[in-house]
Amino acid sequence: MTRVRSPFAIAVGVLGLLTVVLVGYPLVRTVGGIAADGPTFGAAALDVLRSSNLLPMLGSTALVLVVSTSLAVVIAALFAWLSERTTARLGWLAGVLPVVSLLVPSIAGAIGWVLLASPKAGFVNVALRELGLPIVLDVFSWPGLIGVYTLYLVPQVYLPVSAALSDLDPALEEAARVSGRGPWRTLVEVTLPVIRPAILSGALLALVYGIALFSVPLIIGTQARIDILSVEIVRLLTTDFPPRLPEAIVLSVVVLLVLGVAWTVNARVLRGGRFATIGGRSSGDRRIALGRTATVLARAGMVGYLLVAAVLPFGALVIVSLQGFWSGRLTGPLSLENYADVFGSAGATLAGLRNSLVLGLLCATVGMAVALLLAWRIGRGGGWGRVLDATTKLPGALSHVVIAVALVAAFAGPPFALGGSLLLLVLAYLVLYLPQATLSAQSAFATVGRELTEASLVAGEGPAGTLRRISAPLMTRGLLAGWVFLFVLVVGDITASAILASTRTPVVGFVILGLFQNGTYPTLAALGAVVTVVSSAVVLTALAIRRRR
Amino acid sequence: MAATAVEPRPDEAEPRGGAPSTRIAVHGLTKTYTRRDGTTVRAVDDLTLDVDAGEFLVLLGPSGCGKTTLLRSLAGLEDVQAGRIELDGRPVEDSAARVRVPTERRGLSMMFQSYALWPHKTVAQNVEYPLTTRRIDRPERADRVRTVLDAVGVGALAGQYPGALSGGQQQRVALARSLVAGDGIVLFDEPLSNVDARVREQLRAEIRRLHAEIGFTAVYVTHDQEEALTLATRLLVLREGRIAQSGSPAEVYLRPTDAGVARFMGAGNEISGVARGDIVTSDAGDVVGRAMPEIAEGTPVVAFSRPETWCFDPPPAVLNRWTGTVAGTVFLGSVSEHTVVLPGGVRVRVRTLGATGPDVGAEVEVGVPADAVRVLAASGSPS
Repeated sequence: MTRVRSPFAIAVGVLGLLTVVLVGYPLVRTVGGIAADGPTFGAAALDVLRSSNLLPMLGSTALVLVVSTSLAVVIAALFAWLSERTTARLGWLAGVLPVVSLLVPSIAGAIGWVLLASPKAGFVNVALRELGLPIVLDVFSWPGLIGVYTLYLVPQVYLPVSAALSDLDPALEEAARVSGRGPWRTLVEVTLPVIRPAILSGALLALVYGIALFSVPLIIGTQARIDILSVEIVRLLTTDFPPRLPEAIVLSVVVLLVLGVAWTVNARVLRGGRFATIGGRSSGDRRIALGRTATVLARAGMVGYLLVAAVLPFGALVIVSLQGFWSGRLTGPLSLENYADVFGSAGATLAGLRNSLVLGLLCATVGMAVALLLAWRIGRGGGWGRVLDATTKLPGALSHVVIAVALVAAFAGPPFALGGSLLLLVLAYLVLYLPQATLSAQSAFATVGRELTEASLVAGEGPAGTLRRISAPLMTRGLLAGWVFLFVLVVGDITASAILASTRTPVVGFVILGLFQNGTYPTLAALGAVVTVVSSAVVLTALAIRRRR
Repeated sequence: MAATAVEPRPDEAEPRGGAPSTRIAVHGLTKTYTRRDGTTVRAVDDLTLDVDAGEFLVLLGPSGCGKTTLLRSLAGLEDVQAGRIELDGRPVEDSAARVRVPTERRGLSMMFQSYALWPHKTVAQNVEYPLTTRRIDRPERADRVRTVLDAVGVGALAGQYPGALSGGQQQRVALARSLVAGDGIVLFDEPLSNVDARVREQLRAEIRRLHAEIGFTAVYVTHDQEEALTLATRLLVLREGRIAQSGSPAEVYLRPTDAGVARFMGAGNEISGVARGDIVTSDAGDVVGRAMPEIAEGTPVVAFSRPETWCFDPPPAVLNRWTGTVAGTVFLGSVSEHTVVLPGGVRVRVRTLGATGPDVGAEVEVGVPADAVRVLAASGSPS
């Protein structure tokens, strides 16, 4: 059937084409580069394979990721269920819980945990010593590293799972209750199996995010002498001169292979089983009543998570940032000297903070607008829709490091010459977080009933007008949630920033890395605290707007 | 109602084909689905249909008969594989000429099963919406919105959001929105299936009244035969994507052309046997009826009749009469239904007004006039 193409459809088509080019070109060029310069890459591959620390590094990376992803899935599924489906829900905190560890950017959170649980001077350990307890919490250890990883992987699983749970038809659970199952057996036998696709995609997102996670292994893993792949790739690109691009790409291919396998397994599982269609009905107040003890335990668990994920690390950052030096004690003269230090000495900090804030607002807004249009096109189906669907998810299947490297290879040199420019950072952030953006927009679309848009079309409003007047206003909540997610990810980004930013174009991640290498803990803490406050302010404002709608 | 009554559509083209009074012309429409296992389902199968101005056409059939697919194809909400649709003589769908006018340019109105009221717009804004795309100036729009809201009895709710309304009120607002555009074509997709019986009855009566007042052309989908009989000026029974029977409500109810339609339209007494002209030879003896012309001598048939056409102690002119035993009685309010066992073990139902009728176990005379018995091929698939 031929259709008359409206200007709107053409514009969206062009946007889709641009997206495909922006995502595809760097990757094709990078892979093409490997093919074109075989001997160099062959030598690099041999170098990498022969190096004695390859296997231990891959092993420890796998161990950390597997354990922390599993823990994150358990914690996130449990909390999401408690929040969405039971009476143990913690009021307004339930809205913050899923993103709470994102309020403290991972770099600040990692530093916060060093301040809390470093064996000698950590606040927790000093306190334990003073109490005379022979226990030492060592963050520079396998459990320490895995624990902090887990904190940052929980939101990745939490968001898709809680979305699926809030859309779940409560009748499915009620049917299990009527059939004689208690709340816990209902959870295990009915609820979790029904939302298995959401859990799996959450686990995959967590794995993808975890492989790219750089700040936590850099700050904690390095001192714990645990080698992690993402740190190694960034090291090859930034500390060695000239940058060892071929080696980095070879390691990136390893990442790609692992994620490819995970992606395939995920797709296979989803295709194999048939899952109950989740109805659009909202569950309203039909929640499962938990007993008194269970409620107290569940709420204590959620509050505990809140403390561990955000309140404690942030508190440690604030205290140390006000002290002259880090002693692990709460006493001592307090001053704002560190803040003056960080922001006074070099202009880079303030510029970095400003750049990150602007980039965060810009990329979140542009990203969600683009995602809205792409999701609209994907929703119309057809071959091109499927191509767009796959393309927009592709960055999620690739390590951020791979993408950043590919973007450098493709756009830094001629003819684009974008190396070290803010535009390259904008492009990088948009590409990196395209999967999160389009997934949010697509799930927001799914909440708008089909008949609502059809009624508008029948009333004579075209697709563009229907999107503007009906779909978009009804999607506000979902779009805002996606916006918050994007903003936090961009402001807290450190992987792309480490590779793509420069002293001419500093961003928060870049400045923090510099301080980590050359500065003191109190100055790091000061910057971490400021970043946390700024990003929390934006996030909480957005969440407040969202609740008011 | 004057303001809503006679506004011509701005996007109405001059009629080109068909009689001027034909508003919807469907020719050879085919829509197939491919199931997950690869089999193909013909939801609408080479269907041809005309709807005249002012008609209230009801599409009736069991679920899966293709009635909703047909309606959505008229609105351009389904991709059809073959066929042609003309609205007011303007081709909007023509697979041969590769024509497809998008939904928003077909100038239709539609009332959806789920109300489909936009929760972020007030009642008045919801109803005004179809007018904002039709280049009508603001004061007139407000005027028409007020008129139509008053006409459906929710004028006082204009400033409310749909979330604050009851189901019945939402339904009325949805009705107002589908009628606000004037005397156009209005499609109804099982709009009353979500409200309770009392509200449903009220709204049926109002749709009838508004149809008489405004004179719109309606295509109405339902699976409820009572609703179909109440509303239709013409009834179309669909089965497996094809038209099983078309006619006035009385025609379809009283003179069904096959057993499937007969059963779908309501309760019936079926006496199986073999055809011999207008006579059916059955276990209960001969039954005289009116045979469909295509029925051959000696083929298996059913003698089909409605329970309310049967009576106790029939007058002498009634040819079909038996002596039977009352096996049971059900009181249904306005009528009572008695099950009577005829000779040969044939069971029939007989209706009497109110709580009257013979006692259970009594021996009774029952009969049915030959005019009320249709002789139909036994192979009619049950629907």
